[in-house]
Amino acid sequence: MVIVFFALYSFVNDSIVLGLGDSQENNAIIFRLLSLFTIIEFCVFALIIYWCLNIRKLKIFIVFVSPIFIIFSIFQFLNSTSFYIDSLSITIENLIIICFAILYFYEQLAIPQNSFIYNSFRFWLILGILIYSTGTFFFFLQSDKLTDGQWEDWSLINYFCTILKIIFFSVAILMKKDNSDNIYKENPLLDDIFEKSFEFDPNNPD
Amino acid sequence: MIFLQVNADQGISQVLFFGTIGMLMLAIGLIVFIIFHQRKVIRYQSKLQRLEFDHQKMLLNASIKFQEEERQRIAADLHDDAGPLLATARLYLNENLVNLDKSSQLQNIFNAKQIIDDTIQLIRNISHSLMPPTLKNFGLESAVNDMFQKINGSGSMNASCRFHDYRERMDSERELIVFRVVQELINNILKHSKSSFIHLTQNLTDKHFYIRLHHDGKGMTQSEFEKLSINSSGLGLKNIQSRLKLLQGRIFFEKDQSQTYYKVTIEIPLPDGLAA
Repeated sequence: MVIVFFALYSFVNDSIVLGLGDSQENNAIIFRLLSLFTIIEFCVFALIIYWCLNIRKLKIFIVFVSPIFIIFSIFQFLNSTSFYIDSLSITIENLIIICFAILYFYEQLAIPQNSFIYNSFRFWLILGILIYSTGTFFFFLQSDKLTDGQWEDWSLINYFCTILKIIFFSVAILMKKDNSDNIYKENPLLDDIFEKSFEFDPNNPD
Repeated sequence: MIFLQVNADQGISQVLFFGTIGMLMLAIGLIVFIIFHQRKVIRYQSKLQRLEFDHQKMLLNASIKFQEEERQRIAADLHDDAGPLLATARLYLNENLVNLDKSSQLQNIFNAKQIIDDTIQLIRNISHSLMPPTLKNFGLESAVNDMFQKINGSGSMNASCRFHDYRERMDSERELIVFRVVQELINNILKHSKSSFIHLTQNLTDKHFYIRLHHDGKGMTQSEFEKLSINSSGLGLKNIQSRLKLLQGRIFFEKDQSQTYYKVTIEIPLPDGLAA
């Protein structure tokens, strides 16, 4: 649900930003939309990682750190004088999310698992988040220094990482679906052979 | 971070390009390391588990074999020794009663004979329950049929069984284990389910031997079975599990889709000689 909400929100947000175009008078609205997107994106990623974690201390760490960043972001959002992309917030967001993703991998190493890490849909969710955050880290770090032309050219990194993120999220959703399908396949002992050769009638058992 | 913030266009492009590649490489490196490390750990764990499993299987095998040998010995002792001794005691009784009056003699003799006959029958029953001769001589199908006939004979329950494909007998050890599992399941059904019928079906595929029991009483599902076999103090369910484990078989408890009766299915892999 969270991923579906995020996908819909991203689509709507990107559509509005694209629709508003590059005109000077829309810069303020675009800035606000992008800043809001950063906060919501952080919340969604933090929530996903929170759900994926099992160790209580790590969860508490996320609960403790997340509000600090959200408050900082809102502060930046309200006090920013320029209407250009908020590079600092996004960079800090990426850094925090990378740390959270590393916490998940640390947990996987700390708690012995019976199945391979990639058999879990959680792994693919975190992988998507990590690849996206690391891939776009330098792009957003330098974004306030890029000219419009450079921004256009280097946006390729953002698009590429976003596609990767979507692919990994899709894998996670498909894996989760497979897992839930397996519940119905839980009875491994064939019904067919009994039904084929013998139609059982409780009133006339023989 | 400061040294990364280069002003020149060329510098920014380089920082962006190498920085992004570096970060992605680091992330991928981290993930690859974790995957390989975890694979190594899991492989080591499964090796340990396999060793543990082999050890447990060996112990279990020895324990069950010992139990069965002991049962066979007791069966032989009861049948060969206790039976003839009691029969002889009956003869002695006949000879030592000459001093009593006639009616008492007759009454005593009748009572003694009755008791001794009952005892002989009882011992025979014990002997047969320890090692069913039908199973040994005629195989699983006959032994199960025999058991079901006895249940039917009680009149309180309709019991029936059908073996669809059991032309070639399994080895006697395997048959005995399957029989004991079926016996335990039937006992549980008789004791707890309050059902009006039990039906057993046997079937065969290329690689597996199946037995399924239906009954219309109070049954249990797989999750209840797993919970009970861990938590329950009774040995019955644990015995079922350990016997099946020995044959690398599986058991599955479920309620039928019609919600009118319960099913228990046993799956035993066929030995190499019998598998198609």
